[in-house]
Amino acid sequence: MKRDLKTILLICLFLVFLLFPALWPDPYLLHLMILFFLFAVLVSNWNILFGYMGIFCFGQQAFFGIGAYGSALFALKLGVPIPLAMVMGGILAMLSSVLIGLPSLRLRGAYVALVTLAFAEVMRMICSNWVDVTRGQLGLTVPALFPGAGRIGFYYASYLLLLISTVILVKLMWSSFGYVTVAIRESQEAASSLGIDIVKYKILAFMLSSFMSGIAGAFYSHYILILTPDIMGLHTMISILVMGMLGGIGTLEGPILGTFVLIFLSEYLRGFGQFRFIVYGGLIVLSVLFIPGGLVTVVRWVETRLKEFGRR
Amino acid sequence: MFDLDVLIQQVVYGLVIGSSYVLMAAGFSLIWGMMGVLNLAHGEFYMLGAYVAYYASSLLGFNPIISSLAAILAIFFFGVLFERSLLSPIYGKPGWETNTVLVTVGASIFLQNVALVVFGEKYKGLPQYFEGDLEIWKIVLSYDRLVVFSVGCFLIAFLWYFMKYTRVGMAMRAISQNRDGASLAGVNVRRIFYVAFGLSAAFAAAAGALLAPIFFVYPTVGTGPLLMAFAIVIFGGLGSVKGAIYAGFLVGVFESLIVLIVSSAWKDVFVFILVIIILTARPRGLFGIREE
Repeated sequence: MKRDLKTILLICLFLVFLLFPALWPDPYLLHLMILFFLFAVLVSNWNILFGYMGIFCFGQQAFFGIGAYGSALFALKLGVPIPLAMVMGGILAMLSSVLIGLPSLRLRGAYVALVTLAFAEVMRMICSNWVDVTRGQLGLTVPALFPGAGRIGFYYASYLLLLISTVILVKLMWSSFGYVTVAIRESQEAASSLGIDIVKYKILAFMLSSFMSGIAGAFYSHYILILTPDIMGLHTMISILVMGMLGGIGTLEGPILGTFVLIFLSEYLRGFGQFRFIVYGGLIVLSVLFIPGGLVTVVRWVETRLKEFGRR
Repeated sequence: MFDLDVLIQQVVYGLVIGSSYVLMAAGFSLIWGMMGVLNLAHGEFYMLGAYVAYYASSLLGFNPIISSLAAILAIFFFGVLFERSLLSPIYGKPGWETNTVLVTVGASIFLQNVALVVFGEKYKGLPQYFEGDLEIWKIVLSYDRLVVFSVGCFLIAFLWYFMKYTRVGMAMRAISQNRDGASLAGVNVRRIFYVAFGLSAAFAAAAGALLAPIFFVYPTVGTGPLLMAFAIVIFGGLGSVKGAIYAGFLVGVFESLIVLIVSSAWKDVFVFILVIIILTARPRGLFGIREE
């Protein structure tokens, strides 16, 4: 019963998103959906490190930014075709994650948070100071991925990206890899005493997570068309953090749900004018005080209620 | 390569900035190390402290030093209130490590934007403490910076004494080492938490208020100091107030030397690279407390 209900719901959701541009062709709504898809990829991949593996990665914005700048610069300076440049941006982000993943292997918890954050800040400041290449704060103008097709083409491209990322994550987390990551999170010592190669798994997790984040960044750069170093700022990381935690970290659906709610919530709150972010911050605080497990717990609660209802 | 007096001048400037870094980082480290709470709203205490000092001196006509003290006191109580109303209810419940981060992020967004609405986005500057410069052997130091340095050092010395010799300070160190042990020995952990939180907020406010006449005050002014505190805390070792003191001065001096040798645009890059290198060599910072 439960399995079926969930499958039906997922198929409905898939179809709604698929038909969305036909049902609501409002360009602004499409813009928000595109942002949702890209951030959902970013946040769910951060969640592999933070939620599943317990690596306090506070530098995910660097992977996003490296992917964005990397892809833009490959396309602009070297004339690489854009789709290839995007993959190269992702690979660049992946390589950078090895660079920062290795020193943080020896570290625990909070220290990893700092090393990754420091790395992101260094990257942001390099992009901001290396004006000859990145144009710094003036902003880099990036060629579009679909010059003619407009938003709808991009909508489907980013939707596809989210689907691919989610399928990879679901497959991975339900495989032995998923169990190993959780084992590492719960106790490194116990995991390594069972013969798990912690270094290998951590680096693999870093590489996967940063590659997908870099690709999301590359999509973002060829969509938004102007890049400033601010996308690697602390506030991007804070958005990732809030989206992930509000949804519920350590679960597959939580980050996607959190991203969706926060992107549309912050748009809805535009009606509050200058009080917008006061309400936004206040709501975050209240949600932690009243739903400490994240929005996922609400979904789970509804799910069990439905199951009981079906049994009756 | 450089004149000796230019070099010494920069070192002195570095120590002045370092003293404010210490004020900012010591409290941050205390809360993180002792409570395990990563307080991302710490920069907002800095910002609020600066605003309280600004309004105390511009509206009430207080002397800048008196208004700094008023700010320290006001933000102490604000910090206590913050801990009681936002952190206490979720502390120790499942998922509290991440929930406390989220709550402080929410509070930080909230406070920054309240400041934006109430105080406006204009940069505000406090009047100088004293006009003029002190000159000793070709080293020029404005009286303002001298005041920042001496009040900062006084507060740091107070904190040092407090942590080392008072019962509350000892209780804080005991909790940092082993919470359950301290609790068994009769320490009222929850009460110590809110005193510590108030103290941490007050020290951040002190940094903000003291620097207000030198730098400007605006709603997001706390972000930079928060990042710096983050770096210094880890550099010095999590939870170690002593480590934060050494690391704060060290980073202050290092940073002003980089300004002299390279340029001010690159100073933070070098600070963060230094921190990464140090952590690679010493995974628990300079004076980190050993975890199990």
